[in-house]
Amino acid sequence: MESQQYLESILKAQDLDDNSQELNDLQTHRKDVERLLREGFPNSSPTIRYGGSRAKTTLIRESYDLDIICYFPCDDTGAGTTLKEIFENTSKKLAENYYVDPKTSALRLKDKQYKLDFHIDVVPGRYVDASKSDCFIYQNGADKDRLKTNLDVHINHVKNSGVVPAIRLLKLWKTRRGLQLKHFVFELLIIKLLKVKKNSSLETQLKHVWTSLKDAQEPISIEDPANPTGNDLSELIQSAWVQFSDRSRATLTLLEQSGWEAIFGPLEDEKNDAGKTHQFVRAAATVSSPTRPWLPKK
Amino acid sequence: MRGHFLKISPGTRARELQSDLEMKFPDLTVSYTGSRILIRGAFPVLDSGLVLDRYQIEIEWSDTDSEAPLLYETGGRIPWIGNRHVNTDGRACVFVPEEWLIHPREERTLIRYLDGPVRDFFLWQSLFERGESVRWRDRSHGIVGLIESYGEMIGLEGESAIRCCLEYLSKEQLKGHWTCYCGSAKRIRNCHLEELRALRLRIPQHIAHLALTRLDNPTMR
Repeated sequence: MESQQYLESILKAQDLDDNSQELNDLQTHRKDVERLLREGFPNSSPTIRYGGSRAKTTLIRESYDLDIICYFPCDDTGAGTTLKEIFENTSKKLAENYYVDPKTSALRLKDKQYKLDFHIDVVPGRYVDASKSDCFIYQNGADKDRLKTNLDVHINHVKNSGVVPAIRLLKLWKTRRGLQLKHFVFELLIIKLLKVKKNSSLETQLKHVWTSLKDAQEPISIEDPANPTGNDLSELIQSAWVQFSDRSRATLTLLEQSGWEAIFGPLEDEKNDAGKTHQFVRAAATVSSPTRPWLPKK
Repeated sequence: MRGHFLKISPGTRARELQSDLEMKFPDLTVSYTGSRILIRGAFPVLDSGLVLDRYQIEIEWSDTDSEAPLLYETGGRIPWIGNRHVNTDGRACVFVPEEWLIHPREERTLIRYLDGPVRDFFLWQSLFERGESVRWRDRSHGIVGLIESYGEMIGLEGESAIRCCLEYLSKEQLKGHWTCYCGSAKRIRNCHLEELRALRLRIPQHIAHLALTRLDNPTMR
């Protein structure tokens, strides 16, 4: 199979169909989140909508987080007067139905009893002015306690970059390798690197990104299009750089030695569920002396 | 060779581990913060070269003789619940730690850990998700599971005999006048002394000591 065809097939396998169980579950939770927040803050009128990869069309099945933004109007104090209060009060409302795991600017929702991850991040914030364009979001535990951002600028920057397929494949690469860098920062980095390769094949684009990451002596600087002067991403890039550079080098070596399947794995065959179960049963049958799971607490 | 891993810096050790992974688990990335070595990425459940499933994982690696590596499933796929063998702190309970630590250090490699306990654990999870009964049973929870495990290790049944035997194995020297662990009420020199001597060759003193400590505190690392 040609590289381009193989990479497109890998991408297709990462689509989350509109009718998929995963997406249906996410949409059910989204409705629940919206209801909780609207009922929880009856005197407010927050904007609640999708952000993140769903809006940017960069979602991949293997790491399908759903961002829901909840931005309050600039003169709305129904959820709190400060950004910290908005963050904390939103968390309290969501905690009625969910286990809430606070991240830097988002609230990660999990199952209350079993901590099962619902892959949903709620991002509370407040619009800067009545135009409902720029927004301030709280930075939990960070040096600067607020960050100015603009959801539409981010979405359009990525959606209109012309390199969304490459972004999705590289997100898969980053996810599989457990590399620690915020997705949106990685997306900005890819867009910058591929500015000169927009019309190239996926194979060329991916190789170009890895080669650039491998060869750059210093971390490549990127700008946040929603806040070019106020959001310094250099620290995030700096701390991840060595690892990205090393893993890019290893990926290029592996690619040269063993081809694309060594990077993204073989294409999934269209086996039905029963066939897959049979494969698992067969694999388990060949384990000669299995380790048996245990739990310290009764 | 013994102690080599403990003498080198975490950065050097992380690079060694990364190089060990390149051929079979190229998706996994080794990093370190302070003295902690972390392995992250997508773990493939392999069978005859086929990827049957993938789990997002984090492993806190340990080369020491007293602490087994810690495994976390980080993709949020497995609930943190007893019957899935995930602790309330998200730690996956792949085995009774002494079952791993009893192996000589040169056999406790990262590849063996991934190919053995980690693969078994996720194969077990994938089958559980599919409603299939797994060929091998999980251990009972808590102290009962420890007694099952140590009993298999020693080749004994009964909590008091197992505890007593572990107690003897944890001592510096064997004494013939001790009462035999088997419950016969005879002195051990007249009963199971040879068996105990043979056990000492298989079960190092520190493992017996760890097992006894865990029986008192099953939640310790």
